[in-house]
Formats: sequence, C-alpha cells, structure tokens
Amino acid sequence: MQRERSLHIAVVGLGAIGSQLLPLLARMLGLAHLTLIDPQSFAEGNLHGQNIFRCDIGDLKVAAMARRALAINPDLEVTALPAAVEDLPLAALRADLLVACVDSRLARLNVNEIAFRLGIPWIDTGVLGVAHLARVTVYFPGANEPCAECSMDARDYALLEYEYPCGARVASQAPSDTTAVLASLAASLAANECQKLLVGDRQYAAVGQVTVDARTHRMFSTAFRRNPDCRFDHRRWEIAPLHCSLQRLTIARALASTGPLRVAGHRFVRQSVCTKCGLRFDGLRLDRPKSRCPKCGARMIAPAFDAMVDRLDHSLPPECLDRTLAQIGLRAGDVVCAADRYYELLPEVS
Amino acid sequence: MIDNGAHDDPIFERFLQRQREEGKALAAASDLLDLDAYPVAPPHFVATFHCKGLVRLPDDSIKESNFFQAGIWFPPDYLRRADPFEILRWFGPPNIWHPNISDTLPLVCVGRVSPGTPLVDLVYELFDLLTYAKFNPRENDCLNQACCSWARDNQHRFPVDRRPLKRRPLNLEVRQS
Repeated sequence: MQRERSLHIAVVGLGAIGSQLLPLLARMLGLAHLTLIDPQSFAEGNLHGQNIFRCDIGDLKVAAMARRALAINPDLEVTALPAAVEDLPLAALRADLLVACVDSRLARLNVNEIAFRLGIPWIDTGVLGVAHLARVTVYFPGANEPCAECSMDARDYALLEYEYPCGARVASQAPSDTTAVLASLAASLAANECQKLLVGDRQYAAVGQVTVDARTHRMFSTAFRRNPDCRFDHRRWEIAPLHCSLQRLTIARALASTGPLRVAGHRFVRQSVCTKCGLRFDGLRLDRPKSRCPKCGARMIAPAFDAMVDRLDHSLPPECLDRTLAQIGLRAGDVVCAADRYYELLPEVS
Repeated sequence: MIDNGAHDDPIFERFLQRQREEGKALAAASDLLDLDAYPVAPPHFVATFHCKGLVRLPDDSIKESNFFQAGIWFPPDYLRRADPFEILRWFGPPNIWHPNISDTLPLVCVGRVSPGTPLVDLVYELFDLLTYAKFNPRENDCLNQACCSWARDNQHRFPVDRRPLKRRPLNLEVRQS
C-alpha cells in the first residue's frame, strides 16, 4: 500500500469525459498525485454536458478541476497545467499513467507518442453519441506493443484536424455527440482500468479496446496487434537528467559540453510572424507548435524556411550563441537531444 | 508534434528521394514549371510557375503575369503529420491576386493536405490555384478578402490559363510521301 501512495496520473483533457473522470480519480485509494492538462476554460455551454457547477464557468478547466479534486481529497498533490499538451515540456507529462480524454485525433496521437517516448502506459477514452457507444483503450509502451497509430491507415491520417492558413479549422469528420451519460460511462470504464493498473493488476487490464454499446447492452473487447507497417517507430527514449541553470547557461557553453543540440519535438526560429496581424519577432527562440501571437492570438510561424533552425550548433551567429537557454524559450522539463542521447533539463542542484 | 528523433530516418529519406525524382520528371515534362531542390537546411523545394496568373498593380488594376514561386518543405514527421502552416510558403510575387494566397504574408492555402501527400500533388494544387482552376472565394475563409468578391464577379475569366501543367504528347507520325 505504501508503494501505491506515490502513484501519479496525468489527465489530458478536462471536457465531457475528463470532468467526469476527475472526481472518480480523486476518490481512488492509492493515488498521490494528479497532473491536469487543458488550455481551455469552462463556458456556459459546458453545463449540460460536463460535470461542472455554475460557479466554474469562466475558470480555467484545470483550476476548477483541481479545486474539485482537492475538495474530495485534500491530501492529493495536484499540478494544474493550463496549456496544450503539444506545448508542454515533455517531462511535464511524466507520470505512472497517462489518461487522454480528448476529442481530437491529433491530440490523441500526441499523447500516444509522448507515452511511448516516456515509456508510460496510457488510456484512451471516447464516446460516439449517435451510436450510444463508450469505449476505453489501454496501450502499454514497447517496441512490439500496439500503439494508437498501428490501426491507422492513410484515410485516418487524412482526417487529422489542423488549422489552415486561410482561417478554416477542419474539425473531426465524425462528431462524437457526447452526452453526459455516455461520458460518465466512458469515465467509469477508464477509472476502472486506472484502478487495475495502479494496484498492479495488469493481467486484468483491458489489453486493447473495450466498447460498451449502451443501446443494446452489449460489450465488445478488441485486441490489437503491433502493425509492422506502423508509421510511428514506437521507440522509447532513454532520458538522462541534465542539471543546469537555464538562466545562466549560454548556448555556446551548452554546445561546448554536449555538441549540437536539438529539442525533441520542437524546432527553433530566427524570426516569427503572426499569420493574422503580421506582428514580427526577431531573435532565436524555441518554436512551440501552438505558439500564439500575444496581440491577436493567431498562429505564429517562421516567415521563411531559412528562418527555421533545426538544431543549435556553432554555425549560429555570435549574438545567438551568447543567449541563455531560458532566453530562447527553453524550460525545465524540456528534453534535448545531443549525439543521439536524450537529456531532461532540470534545475541546478545547489 | 514530436519528431521521430532520427533525422536519418530511412523511410523518410526514401520518400524524399522519390519526391525529388518525381518532381524532376514532372518539371522535365512541363513548359510551365521549374522545380528546384534546395539541399540547404532545412532541405526544401522551390516551384517556379510560368503559367498565367493574376497580380495587382500599384494602380489597383489586375493584370496577368507569368512568374510565380512557392516553397515546399517536408518536415521530418511529414508521413504522420502535415501541418498546412509548415509545408508551404509563398515566395512571390508579393502582389499576387488570389483569394487563397496572402499579399502581405508568405502564406498560401491549398486546403486539406494529408500526411505523405507527394510533392507532385502539391505542385498541381498550387498550379490550379494560380490559374484559378481552383479557388475558394469565401471572405471568412480566405487569405485576401479584397480579392474574394472580385473573384466571384469575374468567374467568366477563369481559369486564366487553360494549358495543362504537363505538356501533352503530340504523337506525330511522319509518313514518307
């Protein structure tokens, strides 16, 4: 039981399913730490479909749900991260278990990749309101284990949701029509799998997908196999700690000790421009995928291909080499790659 | 979001090589296209079109032009993710007149791009935009609002170039008299 007290679950997405799942997790014996990830706030329209109160409207979802979790279990340690999962330092997602309660295929794939890179089991949840279906899928990371991309073909990849330069946003082709009833069913299924994994009952965990058809009261269990043609490489990264002061360590000194550096999952830009108002920023900085214009909130991009910098090396101009890692946007928890080794940036040990 | 961690991914390298070969073959079979592969980091392609397209002159008149350039870049995870903001850049001319190409920013929107879409398909999409064989003139879904209503009112002029991108084989037969 002592071992269980240190367990940690990260929940990505606090909408219909996530808001139903949180109170269940907070009541779970053996859970010590919850990390909540969602960039959005609750709105009036969420009242009918999500497990919130009127007083939560306008609050960040992570803040409102953290309050709820602590009201149920004041001993919990709760970390609230109001950001898109793509923009978080990779190590911020490190937990014993990841649970994705997202409605975007792209976000789901991002969680899948993070879980496999970090070597963490993850649970995917979903509902399909028109068919009265609720499902939960459990993935265990490993080179020979199935991942969420193993069952995808070219048509599935074509359905990934992106923003477009013209302002259009292509939403999921299959709206889930979530209802609170189905969402709570999916949340219960997910909580049940969390409980089994937390106490080490892996042999009873759903290996693959469990779908409940609430209309006909049937349940389906589907096993997945590793697809040898999967487009994702399933590699786990062995990440070593790298203690340093991001505020003091310059790029030149970092390069001297590690050689050319990349930041896993991100690239740098020398210049960025807002795609709506045209606001420009000059100077080297880490380009997080969802970085937004501080003036109008639109997407920021590198204005030209040669403004993108794939890795930091000595070909950078001297004024760039003298900048500190913090000045170019690196944060504790970012994972950098140097000479095919991965390092997690951690605060300096005093 | 996260790259493969391996920039020497052999599958992606093979994909890039195939794009270079197919692009070269298309450019060789076209009088309207030059396609250059730039190996500098990040490696990208520059498509130069010599078809007819429209530009706006300083006196606000709309004229035909025949030199247009766009850049195409395949990120290392392109076979899994295709962010439309990343793949295409408009290189010029900056006074291009098209609802789906920005005249202030290096943006061009060809609509949905599936991961792994070949270079040749993207070149055809750009060609169709430039010649107005394809355009989306909705004001709330475009890159040049002023051009939208103009494009709706002038649809009789489109496409502005009816020549195919790839020249047609002539199949001429020489007979001895």
